[in-house]
Amino acid sequence: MNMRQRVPEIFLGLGFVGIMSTLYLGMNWAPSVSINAFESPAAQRIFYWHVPAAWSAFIAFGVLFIGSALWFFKRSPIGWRLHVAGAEAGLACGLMTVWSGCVWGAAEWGTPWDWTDVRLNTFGLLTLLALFLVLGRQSQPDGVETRDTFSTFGLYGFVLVPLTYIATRIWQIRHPGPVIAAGDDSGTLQSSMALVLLIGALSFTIFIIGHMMISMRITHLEQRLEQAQKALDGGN
Amino acid sequence: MAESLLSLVDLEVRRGMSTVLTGFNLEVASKDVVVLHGKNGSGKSTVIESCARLLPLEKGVIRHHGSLIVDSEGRRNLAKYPFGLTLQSNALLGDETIENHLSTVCSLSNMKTDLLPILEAYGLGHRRHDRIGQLSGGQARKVAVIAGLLPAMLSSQPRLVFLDEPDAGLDKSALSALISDIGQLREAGHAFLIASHHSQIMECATRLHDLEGETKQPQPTVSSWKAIGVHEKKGMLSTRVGQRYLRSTRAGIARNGLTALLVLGTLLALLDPVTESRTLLFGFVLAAPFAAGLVGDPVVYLMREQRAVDWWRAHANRLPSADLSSPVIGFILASLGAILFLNEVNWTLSFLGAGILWSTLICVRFIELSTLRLARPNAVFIKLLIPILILPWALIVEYAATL
Amino acid sequence: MEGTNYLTVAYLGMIAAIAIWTWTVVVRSRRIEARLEAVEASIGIDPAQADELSK
Repeated sequence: MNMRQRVPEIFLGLGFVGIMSTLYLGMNWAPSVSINAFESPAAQRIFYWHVPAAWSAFIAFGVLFIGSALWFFKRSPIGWRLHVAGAEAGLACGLMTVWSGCVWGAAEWGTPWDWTDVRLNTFGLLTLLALFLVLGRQSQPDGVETRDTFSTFGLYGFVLVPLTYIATRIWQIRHPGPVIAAGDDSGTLQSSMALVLLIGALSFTIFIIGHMMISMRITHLEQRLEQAQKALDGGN
Repeated sequence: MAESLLSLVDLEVRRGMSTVLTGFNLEVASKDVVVLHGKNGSGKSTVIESCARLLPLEKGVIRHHGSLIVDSEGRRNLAKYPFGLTLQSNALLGDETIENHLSTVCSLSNMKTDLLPILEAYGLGHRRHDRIGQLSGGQARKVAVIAGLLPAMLSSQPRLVFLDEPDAGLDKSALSALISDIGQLREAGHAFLIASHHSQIMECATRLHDLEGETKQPQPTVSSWKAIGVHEKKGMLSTRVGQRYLRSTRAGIARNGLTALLVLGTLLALLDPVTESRTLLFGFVLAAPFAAGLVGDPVVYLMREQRAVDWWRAHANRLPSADLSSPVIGFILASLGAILFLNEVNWTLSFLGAGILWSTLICVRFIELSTLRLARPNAVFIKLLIPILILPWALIVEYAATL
Repeated sequence: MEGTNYLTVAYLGMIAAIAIWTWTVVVRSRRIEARLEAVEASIGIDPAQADELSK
């Protein structure tokens, strides 16, 4: 295996170590928030996971959109690989975000989900869309019909990304606004929390890039395998 | 040269992982009977389905009577003149009677006619009022073939007819009737594009095409077909057909209605008689129309049988649907819910119920139809996308509770 | 303390999930690579030209 093929695995390793460090720092080094600011101050530390996971989910959904557009408009094979990688990474990060959000919601609000909160629901829907794309693609033979249909859904789904962003500003019902501002008044406290979040965002970004690279490679290998097997069958 | 009724220019079509057609050109003029007879997988059905605007093109353009029908840039126009289409699947609904189905085909041409002589020619005269589901495979195929020929039979103006393997399952006498009809309709100026390997069908071709090259085949002059159609303009055909499907199959009650009633029953079992939460009670009232909508359009569900959706998509931009009856059902369900949960009819909730069922049905239909091109549309996890509708529903319930 | 335990369980669950996910993906990648090498070798495809095939 040459060095180029190792790059995704190096990214994955680095990202994983970074995520562990973020969690350690978040649990042991970052200060607690004001007791008055939250119902359940301890659960607030899940933000060190929740916020970077949401950040990387948006990166993955962005890749999904770009990939879908490249396939749909240009019929680019790389576009399709980006679509697949974005959907898989978006699903994983989306599930992490939703799961950590539900854990926090259960502790803070007393309910893990609120069907009337637009931001929660649009994000949940993006994750469901990623699940639909991943499961749906696996249920269909690869072909232009499959790629066209799922890339169309990828394009539709991206409308939800700006909507989710705008939803925080307009329809904020339960979901909190900027996390760091909810902490103590002390500047040092805010900056140390921000530092942990920054390390988290960076680690998650590296990790998710590693995942998308390896996913693109797998799709590419699957296509080559399909072609090679067809050649072996004697057909075309 | 005779008038060009069909023009395929530099066609490229992909299916699955392969490019089935590349740089394919074909002109079909009035009085042409072009039989495509290439080997399996060579693209015969692809040509026919592309001409019926069922497949997107990678390259090229298709014109009917000189007007653009479909092109590689995504344009997809309704044909100016009706055309006949018989797909490999029969595209029939089991609960329709033969007469009803063929009358709908006539209505798509804005015509009507006495169908009995045609049905008798194919040995189906005595079956005209029978449901298609009661017919044998061969008899159902005859109905599908007649449906393909009808637009030409009705019209004195040249029409295009696309037949994909029309001979499959036909008995000897029906095949003779079909060959005789093709000959007479050709003499009357209509044009045919047929995919078939059957020797008798190939014999009636004026041009034999194997998708690489073609051979001309002169045909003797036969008597010309006399058009049998009488002009009759019927508006809102898709809506009327949708309502007829619903009446004849009761699919709306079986699928959507029963689901809604089950939801009502379940919620009734959960209801706490002393609850005073308006949001909760209003949610219970509006849950039934919402659940009925989430099940999806019963007409579209029926039309997934034997590719009837594709047949309709080829002919009309608007598919038959349950759009007309859904608000009425939603209104009734919300009124019933209000009587059960609030002990009174609340008109606002009833109208909201009508709107919820109607709009939910449209959204679910849109999502479901988006996956029709897939090789296995039923295997896809489409219901995963349905929760997009829960948020607006929850917001409507909250809003209603504040009124 | 109860809140911290709750958080620890949630964290551990997610760490286990991403570890399993990552491991599965890496193993899948290596397995398919090995399979591809075997199939390509059996039909005599030069790996340098293989990318052309997949287009």
